[in-house]
Amino acid sequence: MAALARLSQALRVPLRVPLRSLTRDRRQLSAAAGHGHGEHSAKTWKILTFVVALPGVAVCMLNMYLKEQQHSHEQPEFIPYTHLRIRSKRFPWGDGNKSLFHNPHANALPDGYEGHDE
Amino acid sequence: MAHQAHAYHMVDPSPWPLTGAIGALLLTSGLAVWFHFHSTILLSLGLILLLLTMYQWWRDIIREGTFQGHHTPPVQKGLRFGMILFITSEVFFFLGFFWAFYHSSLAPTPELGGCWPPTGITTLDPFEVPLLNTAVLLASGVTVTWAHHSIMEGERQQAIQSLALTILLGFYFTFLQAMEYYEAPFTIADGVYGSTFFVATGFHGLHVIIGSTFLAVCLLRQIQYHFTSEHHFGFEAAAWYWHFVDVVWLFLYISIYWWGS
Amino acid sequence: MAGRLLLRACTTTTLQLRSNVVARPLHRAMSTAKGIPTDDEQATGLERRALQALKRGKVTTTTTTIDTMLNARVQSLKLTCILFKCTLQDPYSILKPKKYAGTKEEPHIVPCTGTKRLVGCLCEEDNTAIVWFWLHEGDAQRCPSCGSHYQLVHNELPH
Repeated sequence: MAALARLSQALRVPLRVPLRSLTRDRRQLSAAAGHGHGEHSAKTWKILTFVVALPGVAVCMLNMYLKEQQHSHEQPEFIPYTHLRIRSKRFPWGDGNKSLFHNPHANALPDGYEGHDE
Repeated sequence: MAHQAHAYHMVDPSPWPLTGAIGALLLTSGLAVWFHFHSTILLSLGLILLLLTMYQWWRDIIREGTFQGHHTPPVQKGLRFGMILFITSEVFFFLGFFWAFYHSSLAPTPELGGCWPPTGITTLDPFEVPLLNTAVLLASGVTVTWAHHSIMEGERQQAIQSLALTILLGFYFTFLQAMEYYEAPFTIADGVYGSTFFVATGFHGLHVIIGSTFLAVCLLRQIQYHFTSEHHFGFEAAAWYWHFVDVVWLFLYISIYWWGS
Repeated sequence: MAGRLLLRACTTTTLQLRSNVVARPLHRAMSTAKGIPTDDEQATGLERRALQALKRGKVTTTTTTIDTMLNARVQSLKLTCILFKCTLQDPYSILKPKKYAGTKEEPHIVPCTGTKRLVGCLCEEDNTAIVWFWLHEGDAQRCPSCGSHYQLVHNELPH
């Protein structure tokens, strides 16, 4: 109710302003708009950031979270394909058998997953 | 200083091109030595020299441009062309990786099972983390534009906030990519799929880190009042670079993550 | 930083003290209040001089040119004005250069920072051979091949 009153007041206010000052205001406004990129484009992009960009990120985060819940974490069967797990030369780090982002659960070594040996 | 009848910048002699070139030589030969003989001395030396050169060269350029006023309109025009040419060369750098990817994936060899993704490769779901990464980079493209308009309109607080937000989004992207690399069910040694995937996305990740650093330098310079509402080419170059990184990601996402799975 | 804060404090207090403020300080105070300076406030060195020259649209002349101008004052002034207009409209030289008829009345304007400049004349459209010659300061010169008029005009603006 209060918001409605405020709205009607906001609508009524310009009617009370003398015509002369109104036209002057408009002239100033159009002059401001003529300044290349416009005077309020920072505001526009700020609104776009908080109304479009960040909510978009939030939705994708939620989507990622929900999809991750359904994941099965079982290892696929190890098949020693010749075109995978290539070790033509040792990696220059560690024992030379594990890639830089080695994950013992997800990445098998050339002779199978690590957990299976123990 | 003697009277100068033109608006161009006559640069002073500088050691940084030489140290930069030596740094680049040491870095590349150091990488080869590391890969073949597992020694990191040359590589570290090259990295240190390169980082020192970067720091001091860019410090000198900031002094020349901001504090000595050498970056007149025609000089700025030259800087613009330089940045455009640099980004063009970067486009072709990535074009090479896309070429390698499409060469291998459009007609997969019998060794891979004649299919793409190759037999035995479990790919990442493009609609999970990669989709979030896309949203993060697109959002950072919006915030960097917000930063640019804030600078042009002289809104210092907004400029700092939006630039900081852009850098945070950049770091979030890097963090997500690192998690994806760790969680990935394939490695760089998994044949041509692993090679093309990790080389293309890895170099993109490197460029995100470089772009974040570039934007972070701009944030520091903004805080130090270096930029004016008309002259802020350092920021503009960083924004161009950031948009370029953003566009490369869109192509990576569509080609390698989406179509390639 | 401290000086900037002091400046900001000063401008805001003067604004509060005086009710009728002239337009320029008001404008400056507003841009400073938002925090990011303008080129007017902060540009320095050669950049500042180039920007000021661009703003004034002024082509500085040497004494020799003034002598030449005295001979053909009206013509020379006209040429200088044409040059200003181009530089003002296109300070970054991104647009297509202005075309001149090359006649005696409207010679090709060649902006120059020294006393002579190497000019290449195409003579006619689609010509593949360029006629090169030195254009010296002073009266207009003609292309040795097609006879187009060329006039050297001094300027210190970025062009």
